[in-house]
Amino acid sequence: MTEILESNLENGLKVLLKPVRTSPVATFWVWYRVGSRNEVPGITGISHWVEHMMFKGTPTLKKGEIMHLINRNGGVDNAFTFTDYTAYYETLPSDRIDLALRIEADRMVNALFDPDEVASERTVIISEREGSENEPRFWLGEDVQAAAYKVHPYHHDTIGWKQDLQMMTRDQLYQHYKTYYVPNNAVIVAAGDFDADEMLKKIKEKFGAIPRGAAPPAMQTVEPPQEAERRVLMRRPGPTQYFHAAYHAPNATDPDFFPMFVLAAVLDGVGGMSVSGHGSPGRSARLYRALIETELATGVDCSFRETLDPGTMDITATARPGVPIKKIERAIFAELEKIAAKRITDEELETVFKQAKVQFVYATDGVMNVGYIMGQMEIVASYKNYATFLADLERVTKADVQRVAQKYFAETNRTVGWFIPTEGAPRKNAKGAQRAKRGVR
Amino acid sequence: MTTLPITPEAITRVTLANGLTILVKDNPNNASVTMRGRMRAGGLYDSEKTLGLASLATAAMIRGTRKRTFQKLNAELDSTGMSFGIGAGMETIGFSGKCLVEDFDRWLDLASDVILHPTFPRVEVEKMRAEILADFKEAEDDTGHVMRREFRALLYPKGHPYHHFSDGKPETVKRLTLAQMQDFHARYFRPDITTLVVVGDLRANAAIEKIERALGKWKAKGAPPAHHIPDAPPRTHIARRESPLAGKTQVDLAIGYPGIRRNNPDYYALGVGDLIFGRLGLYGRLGANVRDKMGLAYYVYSNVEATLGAGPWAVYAGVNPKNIARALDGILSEIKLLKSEPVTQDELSEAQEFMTGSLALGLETNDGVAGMLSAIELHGLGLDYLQRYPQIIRGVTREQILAAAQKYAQVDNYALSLAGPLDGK
Repeated sequence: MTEILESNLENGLKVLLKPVRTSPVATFWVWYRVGSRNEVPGITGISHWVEHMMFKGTPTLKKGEIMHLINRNGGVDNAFTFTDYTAYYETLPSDRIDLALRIEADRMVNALFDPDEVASERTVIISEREGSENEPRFWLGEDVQAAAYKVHPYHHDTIGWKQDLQMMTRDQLYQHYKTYYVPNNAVIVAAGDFDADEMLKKIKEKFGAIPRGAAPPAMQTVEPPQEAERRVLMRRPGPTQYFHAAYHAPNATDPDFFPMFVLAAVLDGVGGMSVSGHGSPGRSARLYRALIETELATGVDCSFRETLDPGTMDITATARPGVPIKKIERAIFAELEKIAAKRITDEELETVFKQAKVQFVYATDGVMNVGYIMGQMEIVASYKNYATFLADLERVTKADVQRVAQKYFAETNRTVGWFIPTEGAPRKNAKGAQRAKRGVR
Repeated sequence: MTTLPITPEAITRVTLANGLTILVKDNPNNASVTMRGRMRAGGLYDSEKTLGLASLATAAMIRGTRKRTFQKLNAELDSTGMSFGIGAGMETIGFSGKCLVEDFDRWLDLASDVILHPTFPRVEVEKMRAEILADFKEAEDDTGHVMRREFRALLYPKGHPYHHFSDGKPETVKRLTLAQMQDFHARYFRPDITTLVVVGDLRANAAIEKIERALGKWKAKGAPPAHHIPDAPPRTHIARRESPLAGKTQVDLAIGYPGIRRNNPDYYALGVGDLIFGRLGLYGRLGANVRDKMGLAYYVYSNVEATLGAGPWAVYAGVNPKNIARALDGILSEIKLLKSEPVTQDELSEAQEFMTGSLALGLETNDGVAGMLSAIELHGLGLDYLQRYPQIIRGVTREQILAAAQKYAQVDNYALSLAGPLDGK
């Protein structure tokens, strides 16, 4: 495995290069350190909307031209926004990769934000949100998250509240763009079939002259410790009852991160690490055995992801028709109490290590996934984790796992949501998400 | 450009004495192996009374085998990080998996145990049936699912395999018996209608020997069953169906008509035309008009489902209920345009450059190569297909696209299905 080469341009732009010369393909990414965590009430969803506007033209690449150029060169491109970052990529035949540099250097500075384009994109973004609103689990997830965070911007989903999407102005969008899209707030990641020195030279040519911007304002909000359990009861039309519990959890640089990763995997298997990310099915893991094998639920999931600020560990379940949700809740809490009361087995720990190793191998097949993992790790912690992730994980002991289970699975640390289906029209003014990544398509 | 990973020289293709066809591509660049199996059998053999049998029987196979209980099988997959999945569509039954090279033997042992020796244990199958019935109930609330299901019912007559989804209906799935599942397995799981593709860090001959040890004893009796998906009768009118669902914000819709089979000579003209119409870049012309210009939908795209049968050629979109009429106007005007004027030379060359230029991207991973090989084999395209492909695509003309659009696209005889917050007119 080739190393990742780090360079830092004078304007503060960080560059991470990983030549992978197995296929005539290369991927080029720009990661901006901005996402919904940098948003305040009134402009929720603005980072994601800015991302959409980056496809709407600059003085030299008019609207649609990026897409036509990518098509003509046999490439694919897209972008997505999450709580902690906004990322853009192009994957192309490697002899065409210069095109990506041209596009990204241009729109780092020159995006137009034409008022007419802002207007037509408003309804597209509202339509994106309304697609999610068709899912009962989106409503429950959104409200649980909002209850779990009182002040930290993880309070709202990346898509933003609909009322903010209706009201936000072109100038607010442009201001957000100008504040955060500066070289000193960005990371370039490239992986694939190229020579690192040549690539760095080209990057310097295209990006080196972009002036350093003012340092973007630091996001300083700290969520106060939760003092008591919080509860969300949602009654809306829906097909069955859903359960959602969110526990405040450590961020990616916290020493508890790796033990929590193992804890989540013992409960539900190791998740996928690639962009599309199918993980281990986890049908021998504890939650499946306790909820599905016992015929209480038809689906159960434990999700824990790397975040810049402390995120949540989320346990969700879909009740079998006729099973009271209280019973689902009791079964889940019993499992969490069990894992806090008694150490996991050697076999469970070994299973997690092996699954993680395998998932990492799967996730690094293909340069696009390599670029994704490098960039995502750099934003929330450091790209250096790419090389050390598995070794760090394997230092986790059974005692560590028990300790974090005791620490984080406390009643006072959880927000519990129940979705109870009603018949007839939905209540007015109900708010509505799982923290899905938001992309242009 | 380096050479393509799929050429007659790069692929080892053999057929065992029992009729099983194996294709192996050695790729030393990643320590994983991807497997894709496909059998020419599926829901097309279900009757009105046994709808969902192929799907249920196939899904039940992992619930217990001669050597493994469901729990043991799950523990084995989880402890190795291997995956194994199996499921039935209408035309084919697919099985797939992934593992580290070091676990390939183990994967083969597990896969052959499932494929050859499922036991259909009552307790586990009933548990699974209850899960599937619960999933049906959840799907009833899913606008995308309901929209697609009703679209198919409008487009294909009763008795046609495409009239339903392959997973059947609650009424039939409730009644399917263990004996019917066992019988389905005995009758339709045959090596002579099966292809197994393996891509990964394996030497071809060694891999084939191992597969032969695992699956060589699999035998078929008699001739394979006929496999035929009939054409849908020509459409004669507009059919519109609204499925109101409570508590929804957005309407999912599909508008379309029956398309073509993969082996239809019009396939490439229609495929390039459809790419321009509703897929290229951000949903092609449809995206430029209905999403970008009109701002009506986050998603609006088209798709030709050309496989062993002629699936739908359709446009799919999600829109706010107050914008349905405008969105439909926008979509229909694009369909009319595609039928009335040839695409521009500029559009055609862009589509051709994309299709030929992007080939390498899809073949960069084991999964990508395996998927392509599996499709090449299913449709009998030949291992030189990718070498011929650029020529085929560059040979498509504007006139051919126009002729194909005029032949298959409909503005007076389409089916339209809508699901979401509707008043149910």
